[in-house]
Amino acid sequence: MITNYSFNKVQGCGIGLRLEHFEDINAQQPKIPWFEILSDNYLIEGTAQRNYLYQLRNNYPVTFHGVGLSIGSTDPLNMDYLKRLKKLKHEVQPAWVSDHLCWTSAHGIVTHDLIPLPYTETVVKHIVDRIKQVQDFLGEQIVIENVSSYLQFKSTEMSEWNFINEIIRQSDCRLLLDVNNIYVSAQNHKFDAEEYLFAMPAERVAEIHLAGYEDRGTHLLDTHSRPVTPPVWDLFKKAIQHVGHVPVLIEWDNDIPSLERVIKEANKAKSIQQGVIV
Amino acid sequence: MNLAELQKDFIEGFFTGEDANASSHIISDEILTAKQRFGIYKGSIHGILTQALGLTFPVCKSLVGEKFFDKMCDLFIDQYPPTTSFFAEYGNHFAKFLSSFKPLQHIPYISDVARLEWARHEVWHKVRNQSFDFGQLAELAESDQANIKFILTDTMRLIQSNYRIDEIWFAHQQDSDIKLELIEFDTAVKLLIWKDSKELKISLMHTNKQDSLFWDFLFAISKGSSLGDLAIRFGENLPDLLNQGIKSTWIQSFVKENLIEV
Ligand SMILES: [Fe+2]
Repeated sequence: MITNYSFNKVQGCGIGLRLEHFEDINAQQPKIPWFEILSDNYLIEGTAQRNYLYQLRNNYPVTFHGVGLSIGSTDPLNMDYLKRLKKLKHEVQPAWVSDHLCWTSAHGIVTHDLIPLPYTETVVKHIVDRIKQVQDFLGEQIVIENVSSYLQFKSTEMSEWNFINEIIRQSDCRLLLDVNNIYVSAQNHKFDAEEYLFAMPAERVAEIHLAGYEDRGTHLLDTHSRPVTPPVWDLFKKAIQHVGHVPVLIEWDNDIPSLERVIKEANKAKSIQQGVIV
Repeated sequence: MNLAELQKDFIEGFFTGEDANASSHIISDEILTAKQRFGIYKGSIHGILTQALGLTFPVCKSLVGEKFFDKMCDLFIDQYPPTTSFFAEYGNHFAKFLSSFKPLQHIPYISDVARLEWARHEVWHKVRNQSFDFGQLAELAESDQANIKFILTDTMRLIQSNYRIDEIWFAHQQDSDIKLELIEFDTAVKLLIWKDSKELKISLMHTNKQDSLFWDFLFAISKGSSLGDLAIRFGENLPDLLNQGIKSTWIQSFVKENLIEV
């Protein structure tokens, strides 16, 4: 199934597509500029989800967001995964394909979670090589996202923001700037969120993510289960000043509320974005 | 630091109780120790996978209760860590795990309920097959015909149990009028799980002789019986059974004995 969609441009404030909202989206056709889909959930052909995506795509532009790439793994790239991703990309024509700057699988085992990396020159090189391979295979730039973290490695040699900058520069990929993740990690590791934010290569930012965390006392946990918090909205305003009016997306993955509630959060992001003069 | 070694230590720590090697890579501070920081990730991974198993096996979960289910999943996850990037493919060992899980020996049917839930889950994800030209069957030499094997569609599963797992499953569905306490658990069933263009179905196949024979016929095919074997076993019923199998599209195609597709 290949259609030439006349639109794949993404702008404004979108939301992450979740199974729980499928019916409401069908019935209401809400005014949402675009949906971000969790691409891994649509990579099996012939499924009901996949058909739903084809339908949705007739009415909305989409972006792809995955966790299965495992760009930081020392296993060989998963070519079966990449082939499926490429095929789906061909069919659905997302504005771009993104994944996380971390590892999710190694030694043949898949954790399905975002595990951080030590920030070293060797790891930079390893990841740059792999991003280049992926970009060659997909035939386009990919977008990588900064993740939240709850630990720091003894072997780390540089700041996270230097690590990200080096990777983006050397691999010529783009950045999905998760403002909530910067805030969560800054709190967990006691660094200055603004120093991190303003060190990001503004011209490479394709998209901003916003989500809600949980305060577990000893650390903030990036659960995507809450509204965006006031300090993250503040950091978001600074992010807009730094990177301009790039597309913004609300992620809500746990304790998922009604579609209206998630859209309300996206509208809040939109009004804040419109209020910031860049 | 060798990244491959670090990742090996982490994987080992995530899926066994042994996290000393993993923790040795992590900085301890006044708020949390390295072990506790590693534990955040381990807890998160187990949480994600337990949630996925709960979605695939909701009836099993409700049979044992949420707390018990979560603890049991922890053990399962360590024994069978995921090797696939797709949640949809995780859990194929769950029924096997349950069948030998000692604390659940008082509900011996639970592993069959898990098989049923896995079958529904798998069928739901499968693609309906393209149609196949069975006219080719007639063109084969008679000596070749006996050696062919039929292939069943992926959008159907055959399940046999010594327990009334279909009613146990239905009793856990919303608005079901089947009461769990009224089920005669020790009743053997033959089930056919399939999907039409819209939804999943569970058909009971042992209540009349014809259905039961048809189930046996499909089951023999699934076990690799050749057309010759089927002829011996099903005798004069074979043409009707074959016709029914092809018409229902549950027989999808056939291959010659040497497994090269015709
Ligand atoms: Fe994100």
